Amino acid sequence: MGSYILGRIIQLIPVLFLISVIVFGIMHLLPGDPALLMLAGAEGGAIPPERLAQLREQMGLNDPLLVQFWHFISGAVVGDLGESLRFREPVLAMILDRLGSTVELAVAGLFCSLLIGVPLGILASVRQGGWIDTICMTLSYLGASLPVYWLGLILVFFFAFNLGWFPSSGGGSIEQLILPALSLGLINAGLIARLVRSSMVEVLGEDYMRTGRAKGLPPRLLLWRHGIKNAMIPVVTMVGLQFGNMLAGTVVTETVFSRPGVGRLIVNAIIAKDYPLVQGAVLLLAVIYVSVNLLVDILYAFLDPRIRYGR
Amino acid sequence: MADSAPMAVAAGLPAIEPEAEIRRPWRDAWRRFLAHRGGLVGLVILLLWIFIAIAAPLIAPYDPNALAGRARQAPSLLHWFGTDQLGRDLFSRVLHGSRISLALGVISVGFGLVPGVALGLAAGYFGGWVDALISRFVDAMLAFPSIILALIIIATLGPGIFNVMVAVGIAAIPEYARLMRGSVLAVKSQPYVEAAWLVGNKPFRIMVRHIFVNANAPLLVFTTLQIGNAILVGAGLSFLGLGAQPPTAEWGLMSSEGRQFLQRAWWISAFPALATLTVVIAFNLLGDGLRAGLDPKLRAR
Repeated sequence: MGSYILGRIIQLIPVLFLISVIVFGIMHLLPGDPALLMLAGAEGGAIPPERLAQLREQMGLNDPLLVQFWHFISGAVVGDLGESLRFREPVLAMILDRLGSTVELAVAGLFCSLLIGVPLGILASVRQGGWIDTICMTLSYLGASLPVYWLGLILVFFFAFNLGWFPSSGGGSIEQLILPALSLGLINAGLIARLVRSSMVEVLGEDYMRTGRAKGLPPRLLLWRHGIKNAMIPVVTMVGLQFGNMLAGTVVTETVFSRPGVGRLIVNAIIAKDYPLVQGAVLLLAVIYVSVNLLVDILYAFLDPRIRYGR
Repeated sequence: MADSAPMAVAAGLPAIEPEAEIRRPWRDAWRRFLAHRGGLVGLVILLLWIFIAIAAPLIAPYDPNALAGRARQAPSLLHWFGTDQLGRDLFSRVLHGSRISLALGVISVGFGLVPGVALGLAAGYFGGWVDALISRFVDAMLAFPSIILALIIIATLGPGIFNVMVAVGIAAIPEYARLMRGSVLAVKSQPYVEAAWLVGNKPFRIMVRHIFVNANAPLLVFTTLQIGNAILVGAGLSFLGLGAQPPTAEWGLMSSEGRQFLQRAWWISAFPALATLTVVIAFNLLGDGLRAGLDPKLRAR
C-alpha cells in the first residue's frame, strides 16, 4: 500500500508541472496583451504607447518566454504567486483568505448531492421503472440542463424572500451556507443518482446476489451487505470528479449569493484585469482538484484490493 | 436526421448488393432513435427554437432593444413575459436571445471539435511518442474543471460574447481528443484499415477516409450533448458579466439583470433562464436519443 501511495504521489509531479505549463501557456500565448487590457481597464480612452511599453517592461512581458516561465514556476514552487496588480497584496495570501469559505461550500454542496443522490439512486435501482426511477431520471435531466444561477435565484426567491427561512446572501454562518450548498447539491444530485443507479443495477445482476437470494438471506441484509456496499465502490471515484464540479460551481454560486470566496475572487479579478490574481487562483484550484482526486484514488485502493494488487 | 440517406453515402458505407443481406445501418439507427421518445421530443423542441432564432425579427411583437412601456410590468396579454427593468418587452428579448445562444453552442463546439478531433486522431493513429505527448497534455487539461479553463482563457482574451464562445470551445478540446483517441484505437486494428494501408494510402487519407468516418457515432452524440453544455456554461459566464454586454438580449445576461429585482419582478430573470433550460434539455434529450439510435448495445440498458 505504501509503495502504491508513493507511486501515485510521484506521478502527480509531472501533472502539476503540465498544469502550470497550461496556465502559463494560455495566458501568454493566446492573442491578447495583458498590459494593454490592464491599461484599457484602468484608464480607458487612448493609451499612450510609452505608457504601454513601460508597463510591459514592468510586468516582465519583454523577457523571453522561457525566462518568464521560469520566474513563474520557480515562484509557484515556493508558494510565491506574485502580487495582485489591483490590491498590491500577495496573491497566495488573498486566495488562502477566501479558500476556506469556498472549500466549505464545495464540501457542503457535495454532501447535499450525496445525501439526495445516493438514496434516490438506490431506490430507483431496486424499483426499476417505478415512480422513484422517474424522479431520478427527471432530476438528472434537470440537473444537467438547469442554469445553476437560476436554481440559486429560485431558492432565494422562495426560502429567503417569501418564507424568510434563510438569508439570501453573505457568508460565514451555517444559515448562509444552506441555500448555496443546496443549489450546488441539487444540480449534481441527479448525476449522482444516475450513477448510483447504474452501479446498483450492475451489482444486483451479479452471481453472488443470486446465490445470496438462493440461500435465503433476508432481502434487507442482502441488499445492504452485498448490494449497496459493492455498488458504492465506483461511486467513490465519482466523488472526486464531482468535487471538481463543485469547485467550478462555486464560481457562479458565490456570485449569486454574494458569498466571499475564490470563485468570486477570480471573476472579479478577470473583470478588473488582475492578471497575476487570476493565474494564481486558477493554478491553486487545479492543484486542489488534482490532489483531491489523488486522495480519492488512494481511498479507492483501500476499498478495492484488486486495484493495488492488480498493478 | 431527415437526410440520413445522403449521410450514409458520405460515410462511405458499401452500396447495397442485391445478393447480400440488406443492411441499412442509418435507417435502423433512425428507427431506434424514433423508439426513444425522449430523443424525438428533444428534436422537436430544438427545431422550434431554431425556427424562433431564424424568424425572431418577424415573430417578436416588439423591438428587443426599444422601450415598450412601463418598466417591470408583470406578464400580461400585452407583454406575455412582462417588461424588464427598463421597460423593454421581455418576450421579444427572449426570442431574440435564442440567436445568441444557438450560435454560441454551434460556434464554440467548432472551436473544440476541430482541434480536439485532430489531436485525438493523431494520438490514436500514430501511437508511440506522439500519443504519449498528446495524452499527457490532454490529461493535464482535464485536471481543470472546464469552466475554470474557460475562465483563464477569458481572462486572457478579455470579456465578450465571442471570446466566451472561443473559451468554452477550447475548454472542450481535451474531452474531444480523449473521445476521438478512444474511437480510433477501437477502429484502428480493423482489417479494412490495414488493407487501406497496404494498398499505399497516406496516413492522412487513412485517418480521414477510413478511421474518422467509422468512428464518428460517439462523436456525434458527444457533440450534441456538448452544444447544450456550451450554451449552459456560456449563459453562466454571461450571467457573471464575462460574456455578452448590455444591452444585448442574451439569456444569461438578462437573468443577471433581473437579479436585483427578483423580489418584485421575478419574471425578468425567470423567463430567460427557462428558455435556457428548454434549449439545453432539448440538446440533452436529443443526444441521448442519438446514443440510443447509434449504439444498439446501450439500448439494452
